[in-house]
Amino acid sequence: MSAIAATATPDRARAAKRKGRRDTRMAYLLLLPYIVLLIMFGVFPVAYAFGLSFVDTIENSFYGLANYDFVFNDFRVPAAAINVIWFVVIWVAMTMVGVATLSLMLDTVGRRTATTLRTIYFLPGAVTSSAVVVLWLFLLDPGVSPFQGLLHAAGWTYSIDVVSGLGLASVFALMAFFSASGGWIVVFGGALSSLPTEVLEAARIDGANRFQLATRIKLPMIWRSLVLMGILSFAAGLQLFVEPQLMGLAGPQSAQNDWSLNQMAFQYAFRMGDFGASAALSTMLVSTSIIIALVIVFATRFYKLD
Amino acid sequence: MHKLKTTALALAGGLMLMAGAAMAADPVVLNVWSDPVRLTMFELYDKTHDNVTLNITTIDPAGLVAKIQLGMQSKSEVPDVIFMNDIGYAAQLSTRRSNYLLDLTDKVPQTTLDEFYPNANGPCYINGKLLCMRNDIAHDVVWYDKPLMESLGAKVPTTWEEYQALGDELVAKGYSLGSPMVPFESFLVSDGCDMVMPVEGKDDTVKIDLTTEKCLKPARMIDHMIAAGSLSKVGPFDPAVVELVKTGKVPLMIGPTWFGEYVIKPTYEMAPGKLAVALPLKWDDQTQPLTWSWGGGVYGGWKDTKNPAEVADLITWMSSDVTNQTTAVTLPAHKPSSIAWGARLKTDAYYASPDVFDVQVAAAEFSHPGYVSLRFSVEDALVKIVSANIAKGISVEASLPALQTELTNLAKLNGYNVE
Amino acid sequence: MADARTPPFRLNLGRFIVYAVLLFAVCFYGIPLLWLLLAGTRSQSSLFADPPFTIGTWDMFIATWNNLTTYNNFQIVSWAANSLIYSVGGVLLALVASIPAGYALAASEFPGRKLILVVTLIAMITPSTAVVLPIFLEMNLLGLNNSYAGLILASGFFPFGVYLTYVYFSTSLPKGVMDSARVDGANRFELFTRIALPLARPIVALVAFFSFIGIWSNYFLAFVLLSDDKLYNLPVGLTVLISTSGALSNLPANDVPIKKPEVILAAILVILPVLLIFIVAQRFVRSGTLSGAEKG
Repeated sequence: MSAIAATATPDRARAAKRKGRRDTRMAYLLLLPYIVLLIMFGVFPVAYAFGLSFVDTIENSFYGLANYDFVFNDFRVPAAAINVIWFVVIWVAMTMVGVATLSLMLDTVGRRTATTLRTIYFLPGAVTSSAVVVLWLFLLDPGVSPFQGLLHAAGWTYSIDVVSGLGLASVFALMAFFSASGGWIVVFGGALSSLPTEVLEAARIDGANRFQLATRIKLPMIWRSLVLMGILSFAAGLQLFVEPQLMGLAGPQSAQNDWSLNQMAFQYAFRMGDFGASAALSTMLVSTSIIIALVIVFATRFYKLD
Repeated sequence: MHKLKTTALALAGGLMLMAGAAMAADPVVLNVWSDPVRLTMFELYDKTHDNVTLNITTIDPAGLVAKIQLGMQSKSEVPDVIFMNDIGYAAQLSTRRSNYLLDLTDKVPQTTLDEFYPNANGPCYINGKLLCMRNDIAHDVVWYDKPLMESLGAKVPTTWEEYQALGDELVAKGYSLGSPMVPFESFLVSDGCDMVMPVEGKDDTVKIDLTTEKCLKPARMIDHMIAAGSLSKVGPFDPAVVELVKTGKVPLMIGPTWFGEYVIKPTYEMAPGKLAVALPLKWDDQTQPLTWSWGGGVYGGWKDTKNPAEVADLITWMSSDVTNQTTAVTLPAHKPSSIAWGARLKTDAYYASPDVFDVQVAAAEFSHPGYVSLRFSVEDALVKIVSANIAKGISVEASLPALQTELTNLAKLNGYNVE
Repeated sequence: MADARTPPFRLNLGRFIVYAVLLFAVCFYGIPLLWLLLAGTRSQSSLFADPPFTIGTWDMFIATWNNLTTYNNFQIVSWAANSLIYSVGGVLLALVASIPAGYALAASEFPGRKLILVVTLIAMITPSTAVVLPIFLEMNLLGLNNSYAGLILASGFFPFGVYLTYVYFSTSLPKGVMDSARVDGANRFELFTRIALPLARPIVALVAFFSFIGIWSNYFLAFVLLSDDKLYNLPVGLTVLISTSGALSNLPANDVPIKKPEVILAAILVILPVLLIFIVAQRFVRSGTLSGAEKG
């Protein structure tokens, strides 16, 4: 038995090795279309922007850190950075509190009701790009808004009162929350329904009421996912672009062309024709996002790598 | 059989020769980027000029500058002729980094330029060079509801001082003067305030000084009128203002020339036979009015075009051909064209008096020479600083120092010397 | 049983709060959409003057619809067709690229596997707005900007799809089946086509759903890559309608028949397909978004 095994081993190892090589070739073949796209639209653009950030795009010559210098000396950049930070803080807080509260509450009502409500919460996710502006232009105007009762009660007569009262950061956060939070509520609906029933049952027998059940048992169980959602929202929020940019469609009175950092990058390239400065700012923004991504991937083990 | 083949060959050769001949006489092809409104005008040129064929693309006017930057950066798809619906684009497309516009100074005859209204081509002169030609003008005039003003026993003001007094008088009767054209630019520069004005004879130099009485006076007037309730703090299209005008509570308002046809008639829904127009206002110490504009598009060409002569001809024709401009949507910047264009207004029963067009023509003489093309938007800065402050209850006058800082920073950032 | 033991008063108050909050949320999410759908039937002046939930007339709706669809030779219809082409093309490409890739990452061990996974995750988490400009320059180099192929190619890059497929196969691929198939002499490719693909139906639907939503509403990439108005998709087209007509900015010095009602109707047109798909496919979001997260 052992003799047979002994003689078979080298052969099998060789066969396995050969098979392994075939495996590898096959795997690369299956991956090929994706890798081509990954290089074209993932790796290359980032590398290209990085390279461009050190170039003077008129002379096509090496420009050192001049582009970065230009960006840091633009008086609008710090203001835009503060805007974006405010937006991200408000949005992430809103998302974490709002999504957790609504998800936990939905978990306590009847299944049918919960499903219907979740669908309603989810639907605004369909409102994207310029449709967002069309909708919010009316929502924020006390003269025509379906929420005019609420806005009037707050003492606001004109849309500038609303924007000024809430602050632009909150307005954009509200817009983003309106579209994005429903999807997360659906996700957490799934997560909550798959929690182990024994644990919940045991807690209930121990006399926990619904509130305690939600805050002491369920919340800790979905906590990690909530944090992940927060980090993902943070990474996305830093790149804020479409909402403030498209506000300009509502006319010069609403235009906010240099409100966010990404808009500044856009302005550099598309208004001033300074592709180098634009690349410098983009590179900094992308680097921040990549660092966040690396933290999520390696430090938190949220994502499956093996 | 053999003969047949030869004939066929000869025929083919002949065809090829003919094709060659046709190619030699082929019209010049110009790539044109138009907005949808100017499309029919470009098509008319195409139809009436055999030597030129236009390859017209309609583009989003708001995305024009971005598209040109992309085209120039990638050295592809750069149009020969463009229509710019924002006068600021001319300056933005003639910088060191985005050097697009063709110098038309020697390509358009002076006699043609002389036929334009005073300062109409102001936005097209950048550092002394003519870089574009104006399509339409849009200076401010005074619009009023004639029967309503008469029934109120109010006189149409000719000065800003009278305007302010009229406001106080109307508020007492439950009426107002509408919106101060938020973000206030046209009011603020009415007395010659140096709010980013080009400096004659010095390239890339602007003057910014908001501390003079020329700026403070109009600012105080706006503040007074908003506080008194004779002016609203929001723009003319805010639903609240629209409602006010619709219900007949605004007998008089200041607005650009296109307001009558495109705002007062369709949006404010004023009934026919009421609307009249008066000359722009002046300050007591001014000898004549100085009126700002709101809008007006320009045509420009590409400096690296292969056919500069045809490009210049197309631009000139678009902006100053009488037959073409007669049917234009808004008031032509070219005076002879505008006279033909305005004939229809004289018999238009919508207006309360037949002089609507004549007044607009007379008012054009007072166009502000500072209505020029800049690389940044003064309007955006006003929105960011002044409108935001007004919403918080801070006055226009108190906002001027912050505005001065913002404008100075913007000007320097965009490569201007500031005086 | 458990309910009976909790004091009735607190229970009622708790219930009341829960329902009040949930109802408030229904208003927050639902009212704007309801308003938008109704607003498509109203006239310009009704939008300003009448109460927010006025329902317009059928005739008004038809008039608005005609203004919108016939404007510029049925341009919006061709934009809708373009959107469909980009979406179908992009989704197909995303599937062709992600399903085999996700399978390969899950089913085999090879050098560079982990690197590809990490880069995929980074690409998935990092929003793409900032790299749009280099993508434009690259496509221009390839002569692919301003073409259907260019935008489809760029939309077909969908790292999230690869990751979803990878998680799906690594958790649901029955090792036993694979091994016995291998003993039967099936080669690697046959394993993929005969065993994995038939199993992949749910993940194909999931990836198709997520990529469709992304591509259908893509604005920025389409704006940069397309300069010919004949090639625009709906989101870019809607923006063009708004800015050329001045319908929202109220700078309407033109005779373009696009006013606020037309713009609202166009916006409805842009979001309606996604809205419908959302109602049908909600469960995909539930099963997809957090895939793999938490399990590590």
